[in-house]
Amino acid sequence: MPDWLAHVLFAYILCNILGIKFEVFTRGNNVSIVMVGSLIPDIVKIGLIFDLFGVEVWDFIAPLHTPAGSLLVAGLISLLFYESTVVFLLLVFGFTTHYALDFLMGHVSGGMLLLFPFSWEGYQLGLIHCDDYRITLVLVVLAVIIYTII
Amino acid sequence: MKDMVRRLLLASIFISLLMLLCLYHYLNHERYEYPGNEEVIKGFEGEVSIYGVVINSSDSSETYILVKYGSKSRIVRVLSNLDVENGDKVEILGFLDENGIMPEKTIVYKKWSYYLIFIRSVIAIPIVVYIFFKYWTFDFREMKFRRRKDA
Repeated sequence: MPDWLAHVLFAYILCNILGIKFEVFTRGNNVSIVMVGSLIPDIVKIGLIFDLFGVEVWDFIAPLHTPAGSLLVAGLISLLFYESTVVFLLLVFGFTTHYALDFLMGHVSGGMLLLFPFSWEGYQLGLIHCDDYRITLVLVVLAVIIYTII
Repeated sequence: MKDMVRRLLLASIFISLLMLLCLYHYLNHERYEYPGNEEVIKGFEGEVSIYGVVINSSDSSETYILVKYGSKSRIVRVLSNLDVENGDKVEILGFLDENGIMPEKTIVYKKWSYYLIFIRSVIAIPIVVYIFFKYWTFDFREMKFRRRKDA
């Protein structure tokens, strides 16, 4: 997991690049939903709160960090909006950017369960580690450039 | 009212499916993953993938890591020289026996580097909250977010 700043900025940058071609990404309110969506898979981090109390829940909540789990969470969140279908699609795009970034990471074993529950195959490229701050640094610079240009 | 019932029904379905996914993972994950912290604490020996905190590296030839699972923990000796300091987090894939673990693959996260992840993540929260509420407002009557007209 790159940090949340990296995820949010990556979503922001992608939206602005896609906004050149697709009008839907030029509206700030749509970009804000994509940014929220980019954090959906990391709802799994509620496990850290349980860790503080010595309760192990990771094996149970792990599907929250899978596309199938994220789809359901996006569905739940979209029910809180008037334009639920549009918001749902934007959230799906948002969490897709999250998995794209996480795909670069590597652990000693496993990887992301992208096809769960149909397959238990773990996917990872192993290019960066989760504490690598350089990717965040690059994204901050890119986001600032895009913010000043657009 | 009709819309509220529909939303509650859909929410119940989504939550039920999410619970089913979680339960399916919880009951089956051991068949598809390397034995981890839970099994090591229970005394498993063999090929394992564990995660822990370095607790003693004063003697450069030996490193010990504290492996935790919930409220339970176990100290595991690492049978290899690692460039680590107390408090560093390590992921190890290797063979565990009564003497310790012989790493085949190791990832070390420096203590400061690990905590910086949380700091960078916390920075993102006010940014997202600010941008979101700049463009969206909550309609308490309908219990739904709507786009701000002035944004």
